[in-house]
Amino acid sequence: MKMWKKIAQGISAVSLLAILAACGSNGNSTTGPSNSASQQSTSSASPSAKETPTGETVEITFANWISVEEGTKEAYNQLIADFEAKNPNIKVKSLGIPFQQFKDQVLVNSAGGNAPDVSMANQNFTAAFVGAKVAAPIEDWVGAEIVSDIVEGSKSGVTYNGKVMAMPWAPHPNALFWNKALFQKAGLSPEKPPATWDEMTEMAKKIAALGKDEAGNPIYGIGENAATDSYTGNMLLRATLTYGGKFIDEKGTIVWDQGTALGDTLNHIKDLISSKVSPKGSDMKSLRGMFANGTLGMLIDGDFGRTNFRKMSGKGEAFDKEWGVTVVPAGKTGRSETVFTEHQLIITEGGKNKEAAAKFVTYLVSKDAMLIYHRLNGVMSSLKSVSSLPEMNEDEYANVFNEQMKTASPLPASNPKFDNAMKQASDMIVITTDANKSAEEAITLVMPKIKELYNQ
Amino acid sequence: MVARRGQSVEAVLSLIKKQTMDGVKDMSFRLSRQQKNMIFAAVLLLPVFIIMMLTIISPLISAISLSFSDYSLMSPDRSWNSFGNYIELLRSSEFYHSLKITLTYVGTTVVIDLLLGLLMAVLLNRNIRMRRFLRSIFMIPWAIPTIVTALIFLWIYQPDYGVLNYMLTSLGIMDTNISWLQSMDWALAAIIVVAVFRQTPLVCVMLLAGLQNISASLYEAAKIDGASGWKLFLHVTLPLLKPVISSVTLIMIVNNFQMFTLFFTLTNGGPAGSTSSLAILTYETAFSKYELGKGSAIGVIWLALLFVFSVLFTRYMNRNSEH
Amino acid sequence: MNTAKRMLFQKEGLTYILLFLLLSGFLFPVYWMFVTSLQSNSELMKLPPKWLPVQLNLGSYMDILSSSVFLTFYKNTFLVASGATVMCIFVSIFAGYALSRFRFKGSNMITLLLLSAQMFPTVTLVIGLFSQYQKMNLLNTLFVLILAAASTALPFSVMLMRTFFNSISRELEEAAEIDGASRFRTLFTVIVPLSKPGIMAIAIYTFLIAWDDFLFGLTLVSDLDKRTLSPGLSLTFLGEYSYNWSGATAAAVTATLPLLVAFLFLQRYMVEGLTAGGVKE
Repeated sequence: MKMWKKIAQGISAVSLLAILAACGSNGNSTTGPSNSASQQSTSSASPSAKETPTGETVEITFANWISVEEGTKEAYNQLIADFEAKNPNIKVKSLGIPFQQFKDQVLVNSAGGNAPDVSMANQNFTAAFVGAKVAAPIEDWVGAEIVSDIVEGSKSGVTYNGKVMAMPWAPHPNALFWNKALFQKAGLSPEKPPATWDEMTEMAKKIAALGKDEAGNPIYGIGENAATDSYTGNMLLRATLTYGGKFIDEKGTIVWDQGTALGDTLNHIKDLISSKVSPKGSDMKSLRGMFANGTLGMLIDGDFGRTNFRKMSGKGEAFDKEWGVTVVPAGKTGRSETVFTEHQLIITEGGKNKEAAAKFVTYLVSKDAMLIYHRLNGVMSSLKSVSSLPEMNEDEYANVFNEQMKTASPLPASNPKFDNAMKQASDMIVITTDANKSAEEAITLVMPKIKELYNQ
Repeated sequence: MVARRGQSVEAVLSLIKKQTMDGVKDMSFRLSRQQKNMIFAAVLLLPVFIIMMLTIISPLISAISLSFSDYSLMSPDRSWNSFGNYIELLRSSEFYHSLKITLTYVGTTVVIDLLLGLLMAVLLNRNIRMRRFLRSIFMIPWAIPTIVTALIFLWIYQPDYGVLNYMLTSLGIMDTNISWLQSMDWALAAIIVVAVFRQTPLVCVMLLAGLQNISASLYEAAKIDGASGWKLFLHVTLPLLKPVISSVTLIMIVNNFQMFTLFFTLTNGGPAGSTSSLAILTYETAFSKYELGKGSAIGVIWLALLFVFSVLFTRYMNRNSEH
Repeated sequence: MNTAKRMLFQKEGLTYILLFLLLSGFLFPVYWMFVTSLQSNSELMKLPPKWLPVQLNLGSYMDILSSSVFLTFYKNTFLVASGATVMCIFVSIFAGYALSRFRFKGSNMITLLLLSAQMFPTVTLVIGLFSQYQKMNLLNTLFVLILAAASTALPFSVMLMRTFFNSISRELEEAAEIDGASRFRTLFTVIVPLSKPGIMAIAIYTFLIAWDDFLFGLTLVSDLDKRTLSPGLSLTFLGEYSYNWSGATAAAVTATLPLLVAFLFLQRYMVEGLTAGGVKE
């Protein structure tokens, strides 16, 4: 009798404790998404209606993937702290979602009626968010003034059916990084990067001919993405631009496989990988690691490269001396062809505090925020007024990327399945390099699948 | 606020329980023993039902109903599409391709799991030094979360700096590095190795428990009959272990069908679809192509396949052990 | 005599050789995780690999221990795993007892239902779960994760407890009933104390399942301060820019260590519990 009671008491205490502890931490947040059902009805009201009376603190949720990753967490923390200091009545709650699952999770959250107020995105993700009606037209919320300040290339990338749906935050034009020490070793001038695409290939081959360094690390001339992910597809698309290719025409029809550009590009990559000028099957993250440890001669990468290389090499700023950066060499088209990937911000249709969300987005792209972000991560701004500031063009590094931005094309991500199409496209590289099929075979195998995705 | 809700749920639950119990007491003089038993059993089974209802049955029902519609994240139309999803799936080569990969993966993994697990269990069941310590040590891989295991192997398999290529080339077993996870020939095998690494310990523990259930007198008897070594193992140990093996097999098959984390983290279905298992196909269909209806349909077919298989399997194993 | 001894010795020798081979195969990745965590990322990207951590670099561990998000991930995972374990123990004692002691129509159906519930892909299940919990206002609570982990562990645990109870003689309960004890009291005073090994086994099993969960934690919770370890690790180390092998493995070691310690002490209960439960359906 007694024992049963004791056990029962103990047990209920323990289970209650666990359950309380589990829910308890949610108890004090009064503006969390869970109890805002009542506010939801008001959220669809027109933007001019003031939703937040002064003095009351609102909490907005910000879905992002940068808050804890090593390279970006410092910038993230400073930005949020600065914003909250400037807007004492708005609190930002971070929804950290892993990059690999980011798009899917934001879609599930929004479809399930639990959309974040603001979400980070990139071109690939934004297309999906617009398609799934997750994104609210950003121009209705941040005002026409900011929207007209967006640089043209970025603006066209976020305009869907004539409406600007996402706020370009930081464009990342891809430029060419080269390793000066390896250039020297291969008998090339360390201060003279390639000026043409063919020269670049030649140089890459010379560097790869070094074989191995003293410790036995393999040396590669240039890094081409060849993994199974959409980033590899994006980079393949970038390379086809140099060969005069194009993904879609003005009407949105896929024209990638028309002409010889795609085949030429695949042959080029196949040649590089099979002759071990470029590593096989690498994703961008591995390639960056190799560039940072000094075994990769050249790499086409974005403006965040410097920060990443400093961290990965373990040498900090001292590593800057070992490499240079220049615009991507011109190929068939005679112009420096590259793409820019871009971090963007969206305000969600289902978000409950659009006013505060708009303030937050406006802050994140403002001069104050961009100066912090630029200082820490070397990123650029998508706003004309900010990118022209002297503080954003303080050194050669920034100048190269600003120069590159002038000829960089936005990713043609208007279709919600663009991300999927890009992942599918990476198969072409695998088929040519791993299965050793011809470029034509790869194109015949994969392109119909991509067109099927687009219902074409 | 949620804490309060938690408490109120608790309160309601205990109230229900109390009332049910009171009800049982009130009726006790009227009810037959059989009826009392049934009510008691029902009360005992209530929690498991509530939990299964909340976590599996109700989302399962909604998924099944979704599977008959075109429902997509891009167009929230939930109207009946007269088996459209199923017809499309059963006609697409993608589905059979994924099914084949899944069957290869599950089959190979489970067989290796069982063989290695059995070997390990037999060895650890012997009278060896430091037996308890060794048994604990062998369990370590099981305590490592799957995603962590995936990370470790991502690093071990790294083509240029991974330790596996380094070992194999410096031992002279191969002369060039292999990109294990980016090679159409090796990727699936590489995933299977990771799965086996993590799962074998669990199989081993269960088989070890089974071995300990076999009483020593049976062995003695067999020994007197002149059996030894292999014969003892084949004619005494294995038959007696059969029920355990069969349930372990079933559990491992069902679990491996579910395997998503390893595929997603290690290869993401690549290279060129060579590791695109059913779990990956479902995820891609639902989240990359946004076709939730079709994604659910894959799940339903998968459920049906496994269900039929497990019924047949259990029956077969039962019949065999009755011999 | 001598030959017999030698044969015995050989056999024993073979046992140890096989054990050693298996052990090195299964523990090398664990060792490698440990060695990797003790080097800096730039050291790691240099051949030849260092078999022993010559230059100890504890930087990654410092980063983790000083990062408050990580402590939150641990705390959350621990709460979820303990909560799920407690919940699973109770529910499977009840259900296992009912299935063991009372034969009724559909009791086989229940067993089959429990098992087949595991056969539907979690990936698809999660979509339905999400909107359901949204309606119940349970998203972003650790409670849903407890529920989800418990339900994953339940089928096996219920089966195990049922087999376990089957092996306990009914006479004990009959005696208690004659003494006038209620059924619930009998269950907890007579039966449960005899089932300790079984309970330990399902406790370890459930705890490990909850500790391992990735998909539920990823989908049903998105607040950074409610994140559990697996999605948290993915968020931190499988990011957009770079691989941080040293950090990832250091986090992995810290995530695994408490379990390892627990294992060294509890492993024998697991085997005992499973043995007594007969590990069959």
